[in-house]
Amino acid sequence: MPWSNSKVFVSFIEDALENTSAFALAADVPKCALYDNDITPDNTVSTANTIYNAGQWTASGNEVADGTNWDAGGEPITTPTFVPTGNVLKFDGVDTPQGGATCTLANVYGCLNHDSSVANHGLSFHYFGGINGVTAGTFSVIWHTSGIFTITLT
Amino acid sequence: MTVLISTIRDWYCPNCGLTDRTNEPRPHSRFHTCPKLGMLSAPMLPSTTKAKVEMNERQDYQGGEILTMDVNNRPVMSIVTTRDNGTDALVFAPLATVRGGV
Repeated sequence: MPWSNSKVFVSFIEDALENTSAFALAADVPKCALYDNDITPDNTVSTANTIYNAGQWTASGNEVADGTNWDAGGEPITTPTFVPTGNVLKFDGVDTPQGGATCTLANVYGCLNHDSSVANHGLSFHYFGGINGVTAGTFSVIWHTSGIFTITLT
Repeated sequence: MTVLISTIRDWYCPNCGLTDRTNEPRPHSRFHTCPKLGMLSAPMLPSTTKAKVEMNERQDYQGGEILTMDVNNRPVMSIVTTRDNGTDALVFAPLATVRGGV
């Protein structure tokens, strides 16, 4: 079954709380890598399978990039923030555009957000809800007004 | 002799007809809240560019996803600008969530 939803990786929370990985979300360089519809994202996989270019996130045949303007491995999510408001922790960043002037991308169904400062550990994945792409133009991922991901403690 | 280059750019929206003018020497774009595109923030076009700007609804079930919705509560997947020589896309990512309690 291909993409169906957007999730935070369980192992990201586990590794952060167990100090297995030293995340500093507001200081690290998270990246947004684009993928086609050949993969079946699962947020319960092991740490090794959340990493960019491993498991379902294997780049070959799955990742969508043009190598210049939307790089393999993803474009950086700039100005990352991780801020609590009441009982909600919100991870957010500036909307993510391509790095260069124009690009051509096809069959974009979703993205993997990974922390390039922590061995490309997966943070979350997001299903765009269908097929997307651009031809000789600009491609931007617009994050939700409530953030990239939230952790709500009830 | 000093050559002065005009930095004035005129913009328009092909959907609602709004026009605007900027005076900015650096490369830039212009957005507006478009009543014809569900009150979403949509790009304006340079007055010399002929193109269409369209909103695309999500193509799959919403399920439990937290999505960007337009003013009519329709789930939005993207805003695509189609020019003679290419396309641009703004793709809206859903919010990923973790909920926990005791």
